[in-house]
Amino acid sequence: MSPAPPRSAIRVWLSTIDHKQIGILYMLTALFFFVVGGLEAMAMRAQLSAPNLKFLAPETYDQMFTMHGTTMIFLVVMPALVGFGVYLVPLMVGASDMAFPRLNALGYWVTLGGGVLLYASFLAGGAPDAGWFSYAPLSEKPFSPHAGSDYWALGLLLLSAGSVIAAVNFVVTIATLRAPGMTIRRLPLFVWITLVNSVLILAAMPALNAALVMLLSDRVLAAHFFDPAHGGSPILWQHYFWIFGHPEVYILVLPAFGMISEIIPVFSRKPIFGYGFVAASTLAIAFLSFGVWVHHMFAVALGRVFISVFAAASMLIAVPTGIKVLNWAATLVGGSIRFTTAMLFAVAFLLEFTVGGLSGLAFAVVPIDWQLTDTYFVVAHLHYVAFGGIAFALFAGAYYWFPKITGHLLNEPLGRWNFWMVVIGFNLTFFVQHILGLLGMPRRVYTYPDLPWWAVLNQISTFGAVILGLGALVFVANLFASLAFGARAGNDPWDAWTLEWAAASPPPTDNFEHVPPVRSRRPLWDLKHPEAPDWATRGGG
Amino acid sequence: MAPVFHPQSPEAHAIATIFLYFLVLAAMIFLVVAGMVGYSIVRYRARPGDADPRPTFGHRRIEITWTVVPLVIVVVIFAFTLRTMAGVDAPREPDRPPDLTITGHQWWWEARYPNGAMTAREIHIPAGRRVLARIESADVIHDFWAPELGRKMDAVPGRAGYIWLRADTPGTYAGTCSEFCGVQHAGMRFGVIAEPQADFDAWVAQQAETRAADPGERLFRERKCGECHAISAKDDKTYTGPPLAHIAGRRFLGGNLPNREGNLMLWITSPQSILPGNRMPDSRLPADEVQELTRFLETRR
Amino acid sequence: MRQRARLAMAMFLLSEAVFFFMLIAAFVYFRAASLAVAAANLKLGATAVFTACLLASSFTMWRATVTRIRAWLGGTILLGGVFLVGQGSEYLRLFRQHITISQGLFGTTFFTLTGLHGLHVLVGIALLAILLGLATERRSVAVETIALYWYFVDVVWVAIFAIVYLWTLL
Repeated sequence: MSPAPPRSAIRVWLSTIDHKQIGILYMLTALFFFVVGGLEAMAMRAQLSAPNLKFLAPETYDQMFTMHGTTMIFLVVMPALVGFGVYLVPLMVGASDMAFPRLNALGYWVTLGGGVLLYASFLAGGAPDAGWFSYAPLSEKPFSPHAGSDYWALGLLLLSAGSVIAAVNFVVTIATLRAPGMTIRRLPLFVWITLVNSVLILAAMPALNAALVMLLSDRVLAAHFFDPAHGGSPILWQHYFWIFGHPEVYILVLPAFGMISEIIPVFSRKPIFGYGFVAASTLAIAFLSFGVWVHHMFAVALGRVFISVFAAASMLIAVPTGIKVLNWAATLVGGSIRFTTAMLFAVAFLLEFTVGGLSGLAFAVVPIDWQLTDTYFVVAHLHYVAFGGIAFALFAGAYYWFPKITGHLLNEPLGRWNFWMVVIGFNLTFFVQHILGLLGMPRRVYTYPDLPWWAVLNQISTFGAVILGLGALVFVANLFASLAFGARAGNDPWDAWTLEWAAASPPPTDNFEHVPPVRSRRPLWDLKHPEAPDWATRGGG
Repeated sequence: MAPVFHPQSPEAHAIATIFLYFLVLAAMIFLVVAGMVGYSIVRYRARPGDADPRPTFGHRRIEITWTVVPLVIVVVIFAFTLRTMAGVDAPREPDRPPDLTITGHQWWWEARYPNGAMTAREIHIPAGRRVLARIESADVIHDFWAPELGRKMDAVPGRAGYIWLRADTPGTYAGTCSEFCGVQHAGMRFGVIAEPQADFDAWVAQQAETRAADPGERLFRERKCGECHAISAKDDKTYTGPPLAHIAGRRFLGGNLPNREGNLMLWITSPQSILPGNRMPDSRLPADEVQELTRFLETRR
Repeated sequence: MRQRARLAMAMFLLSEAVFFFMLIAAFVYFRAASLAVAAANLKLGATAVFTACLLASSFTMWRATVTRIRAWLGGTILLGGVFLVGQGSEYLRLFRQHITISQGLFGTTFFTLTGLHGLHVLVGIALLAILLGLATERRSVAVETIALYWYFVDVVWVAIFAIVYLWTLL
């Protein structure tokens, strides 16, 4: 029988069911939308660089902030994390692919479809403009008559379906495809966290789906879920959205925690300080994340007792989060720290995320929330956790795993430029926003009056955003330049310990020639150190 | 001085205090983490040729300590939180009628007093005394926030909220809408004007008075201004736009324009150039009519 | 393979359970305001009949998983179809009383909840129809997996029947 004719690259990529290629598709999609979302942010910062500017009309500005938030969350962070997940999880557990390769592909194309639908709104009368959480009744037909909010709801339904598909696949893969010897307690933390996170996705996305179905019923079929004129409740929208929305932010950050948990130990040359506590605190966070949602609604007249319960839970969830930060910091102590670009981002993550976590804890103190919710203090907080936290972890993950994925190292000098421009730009942009909130600047405003300090602080923020944007461009440039000209990477450029580093860089279709034996959490350490394997060391099995 | 740290009422003061304590605590926590990290990246930086350190696998007692200590801190913070909440918050269901009702509209704030007086954008209260304000919305969710005076409160259609509104000393205290409510959310600013009790009483009585009839009112009605704006005091109907019965006495017009010189004429002619997207269309009236309407409105003091 | 398919379906059904829970919660949230219209317009008897058909379809579904006889699959599709027809006739009756999704809080919550459930039944019937066309060996795991979905859709209906009909009318 004659061999099949060679297929074009496009056909290969469009029809692939290989988890590595699907992972790359997810990551490239995330990268594309990162640039788009970044441009939306730059447009807003340009408009806000001085009081009473007329660069963007208010209608346009409102579409910018709605699309920026929706894009960054659903089209950048979610696909990026799922991309790393579908690429790495099979490798890390010693499998040749995900449990359901075709389902994996479906999840990607559904996600892309959701993004296309969301952005099609620009061509259909205007993008959604009611904010990324689309409060009713503003998002209902009488106040948002054009179709943008319908595109938002439908796009999100698709994106949510993509997440659920990925989550199902992760659970089954991790439950059933682990290499012999890899018990649950020997899972790499990135895999354990992916498992917990997947269950969180399965429990949280449906709340969003229910809310979206209800909103679409109101908008398209003239139902009255959120319509106060007919007895409906705008507050019900908030409850339903945030019952999804708060777990969602943990869905976004937990895999980032997983990446940091892999990277810091390798570049400290020590195992993570307290594996068990990091693993257990992940469960605590996932569980508690369902009990805090009302903290997004503290400024609504809900009753002090009701609010207090959620304040307590919101403070409580800081404890397992803090345990993680302390464990990562303790991993550094006594180590032998190598400052690769990945490590620079991981260490910066610790500091930025701590700031973001503390500003979040401020909001759990209800009276503080009663002043600062819905101001630039919140914008500062969310960007410290989402950018200083999640995005920095993604940068670290990119520098760490790029060699595995492509067979080339990312350029380190460019990496340094990337790092310093991003760190300086990021902090300039967002630190001053804490102060703007304290000065009384509300969020989601297309312009502001020329009050003392408002203009200069906004200028600093815009200036920082330019540096941050350029730093991000350096990253993109590094990706493409290193693909073309980067130094070749072997299987294990970092002298790491988890199974993905036993495969070639990039791995062949079936990933492994032979899966190394697994007798501890660091199977490659055991292979390289037969005189002192983890499984023979107290605490290391 | 940042308004949140420039409290002008006991309520705002209590919030500023707890925030200050929190900031100190947060700084200490940050220093602990930054200290560990900063120390490590200097002291434990790899030097060329360094071997890997001996693996250690955590330390149970340390983990328990840094679980229990934060838990205790959290319990303490929670206790202080409850105390401050009780001190600054008005009851969910008060046992007396409010001293004024503040209603959010797209995109202006209305204040109504028990004697029927109605005003917009400028909310007068007697200084030095706590008043009970009921916060409502006529359309979408807004949020009433005067940072120097106390907590913010969401204005939710179909659901009233109550706050204590108090300013220790007479003065004007800036406020703004703090919940995205549509295209002119940014324009929805207001001022709380605290006056000595006698001045306040005189003002609120005057706002409820009916002004003498004027021929300009005919033009006002013919040009349909009356469809969106109340021109009589104590007019109970729901209007899209702010009440104008006493417009001449207000310090600001829409779009935070000071109420002087040609601003009222500019507003009547082209509100869209000042607050694009707001609900008042550009009037396209001939200059002499605009002048007549302006003259008429200036008699409404 | 069987174990993986079963785990995958269980995970998916977990998310579906949360979805229906949220819609049922919305119904309960607005129940007081919609009670009068519900009590005046819902008919327990007819609904109980097509509920019984749906429950019987779970029995036929189970028989289809233990035997390899296609007739049981066909029977499940038939009984599911009867349920949908019954639901459709109830909708028509309500429409004639001018009770639609935009009628008020009853219409809003009732039609959204039962409509989405009905959609799930329809999807189930479509999947079963596809199963009828598959070869026997491949069908076995697929039948068992889809059976889980079908039972789930039934259980959701039992909850809806109890909360929307029984709780209102009894």
